Amino acid sequence: MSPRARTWLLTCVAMLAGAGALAGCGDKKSAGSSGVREAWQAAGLEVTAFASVDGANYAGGKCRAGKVAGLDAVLCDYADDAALSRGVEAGYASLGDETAAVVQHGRSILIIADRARVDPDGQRLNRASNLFRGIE
Amino acid sequence: MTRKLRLVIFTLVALTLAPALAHAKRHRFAGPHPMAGGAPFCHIEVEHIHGSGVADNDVAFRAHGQARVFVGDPVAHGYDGPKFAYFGAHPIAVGAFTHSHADDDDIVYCYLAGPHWHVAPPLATASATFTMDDGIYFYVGAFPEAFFEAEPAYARINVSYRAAYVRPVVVAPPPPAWHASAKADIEFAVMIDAPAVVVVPPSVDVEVGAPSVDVEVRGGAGIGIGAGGGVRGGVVIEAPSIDIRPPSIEINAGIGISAGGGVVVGGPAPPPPPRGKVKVKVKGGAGGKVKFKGGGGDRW
Repeated sequence: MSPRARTWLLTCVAMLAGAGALAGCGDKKSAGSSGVREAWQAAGLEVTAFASVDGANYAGGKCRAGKVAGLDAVLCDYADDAALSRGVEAGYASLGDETAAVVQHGRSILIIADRARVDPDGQRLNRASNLFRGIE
Repeated sequence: MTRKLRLVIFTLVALTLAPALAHAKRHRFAGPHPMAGGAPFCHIEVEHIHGSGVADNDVAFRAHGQARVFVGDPVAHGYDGPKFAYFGAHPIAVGAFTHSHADDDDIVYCYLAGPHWHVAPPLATASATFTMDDGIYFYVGAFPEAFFEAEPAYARINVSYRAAYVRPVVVAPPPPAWHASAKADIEFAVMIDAPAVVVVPPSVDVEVGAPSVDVEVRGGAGIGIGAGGGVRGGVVIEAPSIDIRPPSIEINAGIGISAGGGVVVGGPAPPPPPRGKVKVKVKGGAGGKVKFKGGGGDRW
């Protein structure tokens, strides 16, 4: 293969990958992870910045972690349903004995935990998870 | 075995078991539920986990996958969120409590007799089998055999709710489409008619035909349903105080009285519960109504 042909091939591969990534972005929008911070803020919940975290701890998801309403939260997006299922299991495995939930919506999950024991009746966790699910 | 080797083995075993032991403390729930030890009622609808402090009242929970779903009366446990009134036993689609469509097809049963609360109304898809009358949901569909098979165990939940709490106020008889199917509901319906009504399954037709019926059930404990002799399965309805007014109430309970004895409120043990429906009519004349009230401001 000539250098020119190789360049074209690489360009095509890059474009296809880009298209795939865009498609993935579209999935994420419908999944609820991308807009959930705004939804939480709009609902009056206190939301910190969400920083990228190692997705290897969550079965290879693309993950960000922060706090919502004083609760620890991790948002992860997955490429396919199989990865999503592994992500749910990994989410539960990441939890201890605190009150917590692994909430699934589309191909995203929200791992939310009350490690600081600030939500004794679960109303904050319920609100945050319902907003993530888009039912509030 | 050297001391060093033992230490290595112990460490490996500990590392292997630690996660499992940590997870063993978890309790998984779907929907809101009470907690133990006076802890606040948990409002979380989506499936979730707790480490400790969980109420252990088996008759108030049903299995839902790896989780348990609470089917008791949340108000009896201090719940003060949005609530919906029901009368008598009825099915519950778990999805109504979790707001997850994936749970809509999992049906569990509530065996609470008489008026009580839940955290959610029936699903819209079940609207054909419920009728709402004066703000109260009545289940008018049929129950499967599994409902009756589990009844002796789960109807004990009524014993748990013997203590007074604020139940829905019912100011009219159940709608005609409603039939008491669960044993506790049959007894409840009979009990509110009169303290000495004899009802014999399988064909029962209790009619209270009075120009003006005004039944008030009073008492701090309201109508209690407690364990005791008299009813197979250990459930008997006890009416602490029933005032029936006006003085003349005609009760025709003779239809279908036959072999097998009868259910006598406050009397001896009844026969096995009927399968299918037992029709209990409460008919009042003009302006007739049945009121259920708790005393001391605790209306239910």
